[in-house]
Amino acid sequence: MDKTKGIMIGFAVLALLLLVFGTKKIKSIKGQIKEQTEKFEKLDERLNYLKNLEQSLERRRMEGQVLSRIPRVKDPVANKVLMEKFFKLLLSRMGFEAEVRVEKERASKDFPAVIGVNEVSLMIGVKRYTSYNQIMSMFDEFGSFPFGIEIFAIGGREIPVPGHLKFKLKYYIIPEGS
Amino acid sequence: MLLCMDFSGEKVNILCVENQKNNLRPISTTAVASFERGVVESLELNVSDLGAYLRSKSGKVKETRVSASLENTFHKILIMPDMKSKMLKQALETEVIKAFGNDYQFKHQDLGEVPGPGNKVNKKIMTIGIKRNRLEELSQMFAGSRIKPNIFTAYPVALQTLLEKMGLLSEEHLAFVEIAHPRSRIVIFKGKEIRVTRELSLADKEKDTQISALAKDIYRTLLFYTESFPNQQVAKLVIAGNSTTSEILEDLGQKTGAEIIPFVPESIEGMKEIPYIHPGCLGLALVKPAGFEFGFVPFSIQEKRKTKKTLALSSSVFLVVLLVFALIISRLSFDLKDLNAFQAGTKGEIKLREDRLKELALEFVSQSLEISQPPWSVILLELSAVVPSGVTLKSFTLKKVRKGWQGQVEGVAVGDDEITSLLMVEETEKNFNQSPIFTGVKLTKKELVGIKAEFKIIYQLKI
Repeated sequence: MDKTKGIMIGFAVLALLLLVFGTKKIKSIKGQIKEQTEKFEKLDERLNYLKNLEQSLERRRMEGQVLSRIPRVKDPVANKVLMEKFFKLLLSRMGFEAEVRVEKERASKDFPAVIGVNEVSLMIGVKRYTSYNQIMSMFDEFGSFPFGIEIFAIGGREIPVPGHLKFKLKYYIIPEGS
Repeated sequence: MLLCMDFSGEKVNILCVENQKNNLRPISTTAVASFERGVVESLELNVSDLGAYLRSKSGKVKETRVSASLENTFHKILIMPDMKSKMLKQALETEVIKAFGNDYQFKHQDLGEVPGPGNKVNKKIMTIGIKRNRLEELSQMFAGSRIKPNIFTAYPVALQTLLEKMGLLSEEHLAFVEIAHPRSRIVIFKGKEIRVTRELSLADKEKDTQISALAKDIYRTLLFYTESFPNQQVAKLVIAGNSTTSEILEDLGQKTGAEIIPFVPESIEGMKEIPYIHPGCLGLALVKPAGFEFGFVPFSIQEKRKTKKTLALSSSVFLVVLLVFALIISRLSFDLKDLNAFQAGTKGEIKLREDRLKELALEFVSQSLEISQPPWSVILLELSAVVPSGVTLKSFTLKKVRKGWQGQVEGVAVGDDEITSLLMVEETEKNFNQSPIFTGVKLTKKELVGIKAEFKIIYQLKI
């Protein structure tokens, strides 16, 4: 084979290899850039959400729109008893005769883990109530505590507690100092 | 330093000159010089000593020019029709192969137009060729040294340059005779045309004391020229060579009747007090490479140059491609790096915000609950509105699911008859459908129990 042809073929092969590997490398970096851009966009979106949330929460704090909390102790069993008693007392003060069941405290999945909010599920069965206004005032009272209503039922068997008016609630335990 | 070498004789004639800008200046000349003598010299060497000489000059020589002997060259003037250069080249190649065979590498020079038959104009082309094998042999002589010839040409071409510089080349017929031992050379010029070249033997002085045989040979050559070119006669004879004697000059003058001009290099500008210099070498030294048309390159060197050129071109292209890829990849890598840095920064800021969020946990929970809890009073009022009289709800449920709130009501419609009861159930369903806060309403059960109609409706909250 002609030497010149040999050289040209050699360099052509080298150039081809370079082209193949170079293109592969470029594609790989472009892929990484695309992936990172998407991640970055998500992060940026999250950051904006957090900024807005922080602003709104700061405003809320300034306006003094805060929730009351049920007193707590260090012992979890005592806490459970304390919560049951507190609820019964609250409901009896509003004129309800009710059955209260308190479940175990656990980490809440309704809020980001970083905040460290725990939750206690509660089931309330009101045996007797007198008026619509009485129920409404109960909803208002629930609103002044970190309660989230999960199920509200009149009759039915959805909530396994005795009573006509039944609630399944979540009480959110917010870390001290916040 | 410029090294000029003439291989026309049995020995190699060498001229070393210093190239000082444009002023060519041979410094000293001797018939046989020692290698140690230094910078510039004119000498005659046996071919066997050439290798050692070249090695001694290695590194000092910048340019080398070589002329080949007469026996390995041809010179022919061809009259060709006017045609394009490519076609002319092909036609010339055919003519040369026809005349001399395929063993020659040749070059041509356009000497101008000549009238052809009719109104046509022909071209006068001077062709000069050197045997390929001889060119390769000459090239091989330099193989062991670092000195590589830049120009290979024919002996008459070098002479032509010399005569031109001496102001002797004109439209007159001129013969240049180099009288050397054991062979002499005669070249007849007419302007730029090299018309006749011939080598003549010079008999030993002992055998031919009057040296009349050489004069006769030269005379015969001139007669042959007159026969070949009728009505054209050589008017001048330039005589050179270290075997020239006054007897030969006298004899030639008498026999030919031509003007005898001894070769005197002093007539060239810048050359003074030079006793002897080889005319071929001097001609080579006087050649101007730019625009020189009879410079030959041996095939092997052409191949090497081609290989080098290809190597340079291929590697340049490869390097350019490599560079382009390297630039693109580095640019993209920088972009990726920047992106990663931005991402790390954003992550850090997110962490800070989340930490701050811990401090605002109470507000966060409060806000979330406010958003997620439905307006219970509105729901209960709407419920009482959508249930027509005669319909009793046995149960009502509203449950938080992933996408919102979902519920069901179970009830019984008590009408005057079955149809009324069923119509009441339909009315209830219709009311649910028309309600602004319920959506996705479906009647999943409708059952007659006597005249009563039991029903079950599922729905979603529109908030």
